[in-house]
Amino acid sequence: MGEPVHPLDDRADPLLSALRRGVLPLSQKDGLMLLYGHPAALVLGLYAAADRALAGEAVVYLDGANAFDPFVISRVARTHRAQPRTLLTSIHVARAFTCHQMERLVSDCLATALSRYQARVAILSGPLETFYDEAVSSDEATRLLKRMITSLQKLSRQGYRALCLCPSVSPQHQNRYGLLMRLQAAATRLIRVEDAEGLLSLYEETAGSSKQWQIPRAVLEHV
Amino acid sequence: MTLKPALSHTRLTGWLLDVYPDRTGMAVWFLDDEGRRFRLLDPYHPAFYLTGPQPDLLAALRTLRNAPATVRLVERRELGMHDTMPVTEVAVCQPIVFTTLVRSLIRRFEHVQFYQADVSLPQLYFYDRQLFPLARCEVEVTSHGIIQAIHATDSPWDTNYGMPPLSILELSLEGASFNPNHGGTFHLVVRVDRQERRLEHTDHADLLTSFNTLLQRYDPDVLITDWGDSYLLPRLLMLASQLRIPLALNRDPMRSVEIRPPRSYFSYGRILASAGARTLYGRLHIDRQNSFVMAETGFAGLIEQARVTKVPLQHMARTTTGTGITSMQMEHAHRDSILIPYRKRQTEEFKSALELLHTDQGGLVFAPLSGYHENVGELDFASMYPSIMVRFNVSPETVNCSCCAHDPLARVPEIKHHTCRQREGLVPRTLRPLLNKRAQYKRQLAATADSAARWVLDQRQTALKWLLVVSFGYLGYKNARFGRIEAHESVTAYSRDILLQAKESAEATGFRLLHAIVDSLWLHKPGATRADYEALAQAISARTRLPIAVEGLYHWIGFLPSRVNPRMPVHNQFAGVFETGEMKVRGLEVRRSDAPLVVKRAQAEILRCLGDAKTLRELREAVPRGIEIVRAYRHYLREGRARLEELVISKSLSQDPRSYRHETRTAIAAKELLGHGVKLQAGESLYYVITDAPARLPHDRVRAAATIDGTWSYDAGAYEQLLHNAALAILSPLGVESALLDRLTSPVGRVE
Ligand SMILES: [Zn+2]
Repeated sequence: MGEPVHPLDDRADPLLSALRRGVLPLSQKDGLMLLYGHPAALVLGLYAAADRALAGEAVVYLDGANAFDPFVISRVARTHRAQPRTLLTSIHVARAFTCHQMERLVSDCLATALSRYQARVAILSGPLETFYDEAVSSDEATRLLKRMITSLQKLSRQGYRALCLCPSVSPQHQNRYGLLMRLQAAATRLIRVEDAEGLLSLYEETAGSSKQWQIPRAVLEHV
Repeated sequence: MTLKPALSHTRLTGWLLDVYPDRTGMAVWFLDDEGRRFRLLDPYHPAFYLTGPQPDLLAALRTLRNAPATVRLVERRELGMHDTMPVTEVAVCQPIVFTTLVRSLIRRFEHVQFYQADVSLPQLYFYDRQLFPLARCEVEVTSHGIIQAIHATDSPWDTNYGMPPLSILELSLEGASFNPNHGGTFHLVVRVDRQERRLEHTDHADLLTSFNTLLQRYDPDVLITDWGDSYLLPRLLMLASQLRIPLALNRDPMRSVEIRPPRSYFSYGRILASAGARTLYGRLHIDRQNSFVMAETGFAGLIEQARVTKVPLQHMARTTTGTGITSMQMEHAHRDSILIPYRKRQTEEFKSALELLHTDQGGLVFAPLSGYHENVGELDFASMYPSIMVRFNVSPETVNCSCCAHDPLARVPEIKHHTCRQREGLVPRTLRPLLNKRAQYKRQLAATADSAARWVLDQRQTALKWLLVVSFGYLGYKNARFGRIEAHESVTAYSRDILLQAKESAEATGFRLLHAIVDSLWLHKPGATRADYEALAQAISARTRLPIAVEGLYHWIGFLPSRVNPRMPVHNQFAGVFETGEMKVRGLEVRRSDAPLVVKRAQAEILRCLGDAKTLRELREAVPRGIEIVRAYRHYLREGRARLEELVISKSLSQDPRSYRHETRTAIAAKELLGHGVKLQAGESLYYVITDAPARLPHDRVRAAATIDGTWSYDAGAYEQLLHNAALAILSPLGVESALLDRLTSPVGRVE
C-alpha cells in the first residue's frame, strides 16, 4: 500500500477540504467518533473513507443504511487525480440488513477484518438504521446495541478508530431515540451535522470544545 | 344463524374460514356444507426449538418447568448443513401464551439459539396440518366441537378450486374520494345481498344500533370496507365505547377487535406507510384502501395468494407480498425438518468496494435509441429472475457451497460466486410449483372465452406474478429468513449474461437491438414477420434454456427522451401500438399516480389519436390532430371549467410532514392538514390542488383537496403547463417543439 498522500486542493474538492479542517484524519484519540443529524452525514462517511484511501490506508466500511456508493469514491479519486481502482480496492465493505447482522458484524467480524486488511479505521454508516425496525422489540434492540457499543469501545482501546454516521431519528421512530443517546454517550468525539440556509454546518459537541465549520450544501447535490 | 349450532354428527365437510390461537389449542372456524358456521377447537401444540451452551440451555429449560409445555430432544438440520444436530423441542400446550413464553426466554437467555420462535401460529398450524386458508376440508369432531382429525380435500396447487359460499358485507363512505382522515363529512353505506343502504342517522346511538342489527341479521363471513383500518372501524369502535353500546364486529364473542397502530417503513429506498389494522376473529375484515394485493389483483387474487402461501387472509391482505414468499420457504423448510432461524444473524462477507461495484450491478440495460420506430418486435423472458433461480439452482445454501467450488459448470458468470450442482436449494424448490401454476393459469386463460372466468384467471395469475416478482428481492433482503446477498448477486449476474446471449442471437440473425432492459428486448428488422420473431424466441430459449416469448409486434413505438435533458435517452418512458391495436405505455402521465386526471385524460386522447396510425408516416400526419386536442384542453382549463376531481394531484409524503424545511407543494398541503388537526405520517398520500402557483404566501399556492369548499379557484396557468409537458413528451420526437406547441395551442388567439 505505497500510495502517496495526495496534496490537498481546496478548490478541487471543497467538501473534503472542509472535512479535513475539522473531522479528518481521524486521529487515534478520536477513538469512537460520531457524526449525527442531517442525512448528509452518510455522504460525509463516504468522503471520509475516500480520504483515508487517498492517504494509502485500508478502510473497513460497515453499511447499515444500504448507502454505500462506489461512484462517489471514484469521483473523489478522479478529482484528486488518483486511480478509482486503487481507492475502491482499499475500502472493504459489508452490509447489514438487520440489527442482528449489524451487531454480529461489529462484535464478531470487525476485529478480524481490521487486522486482515491492516486497517486502522472502521466507518459505520447508519449503524442504527437497522435498529429502528419495529419487528424487533425495543428491549432487544437496546440489548444488541449495548453489546455493539462494548465491542466498539474495546476496539477503540486497542487503538482502532471508529467513525459512526447517524442520521437523526425520524419522528415515527421517536420511541427509539434512546438508542442514539446511548451511542452519543459512548462516543469520545461528537459532531452534529445541520442544514442551515444552504450550508451544512458541523458543530463540535465534544465536552470542552465548541468548534463549528461549514460546507456548502451544493457540494452534496452532485452526489 | 346462531353461533354454536348443536353438533349432531361427528364428520363435517366444508371450508376452513379462520384459525387463531386459543387457550387449549387453535380456534378453527368452519363453514359446513349446510351453510352452518362452527367454532371448533383443535388441540394443537405449536413447538419451538432451542440449542446453545449447556449451562444456558439447562437454565432456560428450568424456567420452563412450570410452563404449559412439554420438552423433548429431537434431531433437526440447519439450512445448508448435511448433518442433523440435536435440538430441544418445546411444544406449548396453550397456544395463546406461545408468544409471551418465547419472548421472555429470548430476553433472558441471550446465548441460546432459538428456532421457529416467531413464525405466526396460524401459519405453523397450516404447515403442520397441511391445510391452508379457505381449504376444502373434512373434519371429525366430538359433540363438544373438539377436532379429532382434519384434512384438506383439495390442494393449494389446484387451478380449478371451488370457493366457499361466503357471505360478504361491504361497508364504505359516501362522498369520500380521497382519504377521509384528511377531512370532510360522509355517510356510511352498507352493501349486502345486492342491496345498498345508506345509514343516515343523526343520532350516533341509532347508527350503531342499525349497524349491529345488520351484522346480526346477515352474520357476514367477510367484512370488506373502504378505509376500515384507519377511519371507519376506529371511529365506530370509539363511538361504541363512548356510548357503551357493544359492537358485534367480531364473530367470536370472547375476543375484542385486534388493533395494530400505523407505522412508516423503508422498502427498496422508498418510504411507505402502513395504515395500521383492525382485524377480527371468526370473521375476516379486509380494507380495500389498505391492501396492495386487493388493489392489484382483487379478491380472487388475495385468495389465490393466501392459499399458496398459507398466510391467513386478513394478514395477507395487509402485509407485503414478501411475507407470502417467506412463508412458502418456511413451509418447505419445516417439511424437510430444516430449522427456521429466529432472526437471521448470518452476515455478508466483506468485499472490496471494487468487487461491490461489479457484483451489485443489478440488471443490464441497453439505452434506447430515442424517437419513434416502426416494425418493432418485443421479446420478454417470462419471470426471468425466478426462472434463473430455478434453472441455476440459486438459493442461500447453494451459493458458494463447499462441494462444487471447483466445478467449472457451477460458476456464476463474471463474479466470483458459484452455485451447487449436487443438491436442489430451498428457493428453487419453493419457486418451481409457483412458476408451473402460473404457466397453467396462462394456458387456461388462452383457452377460455368466457369473460367472467377470464377475469378470475387473470387475477389469480397476477397474484402469482407478484409473488414471483418479489421472490428476487427476498433472496437478499432483511425480511428473508433465508436471504443472502450473494444469492441475490448471482441472479443479477446470470441475468446480465443471459440478456447478452439473447442480444447476440438476435444480432446474428439480422435483428437490430433498439433497446433492452433486464428481461425485455425491443428489436427491429425490416420486413420481419411474427414467424421470424417466434423463431428467434425459440432460438434464444434453446440457447439460454429460459423461456422467452414474443410480447408483440408494434406498428410503431416511441422511446421518449428525458424531459430534463432531451438528448438523454431514458429507459422507462415509451408508448407503442401493437398490431392488435392495443397500446403499451410506460412512464408517461397516463400511468402516473401524481398526474391530475385532466392531464391524464388529455394525454390518453392524444395517444389514442396517434394510435390510429400504422406507419411512421401516418403517425406524423396525425400530429395536427394531437395538437388540436391539447388546444381544446387548454381552452377548457382556461375557462375554469375543470372540476375538483380532475385537478387533484396526489403525492406521497417522503418524510415526516413536520420535518419539511422547504415550501414544496406537498409540504404546504401537509402543513395545512396538520393545522386542521389531521394526523399524517411519512409514506402516506396527500391530495392537493394548485390554486395560485406564484403566490407570495405559500398557503395561497396550493390547497389540500379535503379542505376545499365553495370558495376556491385553480391556477389555470399551472395546469396548462402540466398539460403542455405531458403533450410535449409524446410530440417532441415528432418535431413539435415547446414554443411551437405553445403557440399552436394558445387559448388567446389561434395562429394558423
Ligand atoms: Zn455443491
